[in-house]
Formats: sequence, structure tokens, C-alpha cells
Amino acid sequence: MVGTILPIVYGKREKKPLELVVYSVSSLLGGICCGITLSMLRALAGRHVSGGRSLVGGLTGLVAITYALKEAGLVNVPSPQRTWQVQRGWMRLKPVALPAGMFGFCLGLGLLTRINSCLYPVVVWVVLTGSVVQGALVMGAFGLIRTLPLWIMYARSWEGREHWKDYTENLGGWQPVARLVSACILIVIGALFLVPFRF
Amino acid sequence: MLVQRSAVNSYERQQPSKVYLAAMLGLMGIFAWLAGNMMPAFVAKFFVLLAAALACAAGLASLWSP
Repeated sequence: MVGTILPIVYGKREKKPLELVVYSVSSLLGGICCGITLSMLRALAGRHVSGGRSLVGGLTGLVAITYALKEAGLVNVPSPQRTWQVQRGWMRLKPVALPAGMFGFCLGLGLLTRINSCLYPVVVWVVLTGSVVQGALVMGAFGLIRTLPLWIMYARSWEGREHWKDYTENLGGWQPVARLVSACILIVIGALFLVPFRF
Repeated sequence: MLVQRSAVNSYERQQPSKVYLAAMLGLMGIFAWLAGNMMPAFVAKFFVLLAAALACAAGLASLWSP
């Protein structure tokens, strides 16, 4: 997927990376929209869903720990997701900022394409909390941070150090390390979510 | 770049065993839980920051999505 997005947001060496800015803003908006929608699911459930802060934290923590074990390859749990890829054909649309915005929004939503294990507990927390503001903040952070690697690649490429193609070629090799890091983050944060939950 | 590839290859060759991984994750979880229990009210107050940290990790890790 990175191979599809990068030529759009970094196809030309322009002094003002308009496409990258549009991509980032759209990704942020996508994340905020997703957060608002997810948090409203709790309101739709109405009185049928109830639970205190510790119950929300407990459930989120359990989901985080379960997916930490999955990322470490210790258990096999289902990870529902769509394996839809952003349309490569969008790259032909003009002006170039348009597909950059479309890619950014779709990926910022976070749930239309492949989902990383770290996102499942976040979704559970946003839905159970039901706070529109907090949901928008958390998923907005997801959308914004998702663009960070592209900014780093842009900056480094602009300095003439390495081309983005070198990065995309080497990313796949780092996947086992990335999964282990994800597992560590999930287990630590999952344990912290369980703190107020009394056993 | 060569050093990076070498590090990744070395990791793939010597992947830790499941027992080691389980022990490592278990210890990390227990230490985090104990540390959080020193100030449970504080942790519970900032659940939103924990969720945001997870969301940021998910955002960065999505770079490895195929």
C-alpha cells in the first residue's frame, strides 16, 4: 500500500509538498470522522450498554493483551478486517492533490483497509467510552501519526540521503521486529488499562 | 543499509522461542501493572492518553501493512 501512496505524495520533488500536506490533513479528518462515528455507537446502544470506567478499562486491557499474544505468535485469535487496498487507479486523477486527499481520508479512517493489532483495543475503548471528543482526539492522533513516516521519508529524501524506493524495499524485512514492538506496546498499555480493574 | 539488513536477517534466524517470548511479555505486563498500581487513580484518569498512545503505535505500525 505504501508503494501506492508514496508516488502520489512524493512523486515530484517540489519545494512545497502540497500533496503531502493534503494527504496529512485528509488523514487527520478521516481519523476524526472515524472516532466520532465509533463513539456514537455507544449512544445508539443506549441503556443496553452500561459499565463504569474500570469495566471499560478492563475490557480494553483484555483485548490489548490478547492481541499482544497474537502479535508474538503465541495465540491465534481472529482479527476482523477488510483487506481492501486503496485504488491504484486514483493515481491518474488530476489535480494530484485530489487522489492524495482521497488516499489520506480512506487510510485515516483506519477501518477500511488492513487493521493493525494495536487498533483493536483502541476501537473497543472508543466505542465503550462513548465520548465523541475523546474518540475524535484518539482516532485523530491515529490519522495524523499515520502520516509521520511519509514526512520523515520526504525530509530525508529532500536532503538527498535516500530515495523513498529504498525505504519501501526494506520495510518488509522489518515486519517481524515491528510485530514484536507492537506486542510489547500492547502488553504494557493493556496491563495499565487493567490497573483500576479489581480481580 | 547493509547493517540494517544484517540486523533483520540475524533477528529472523534467531527468533526467540515461544517460552521466552511468553516469559518476556508476562514480565513486562506484570511490571507495568505493578507500576500502574502505585498510582491507580492517576492511571485511570488518563485512559485517553493510553488509548492515544496505542492509536499512535497503530498508526506507525500501519506502515508495514501490505
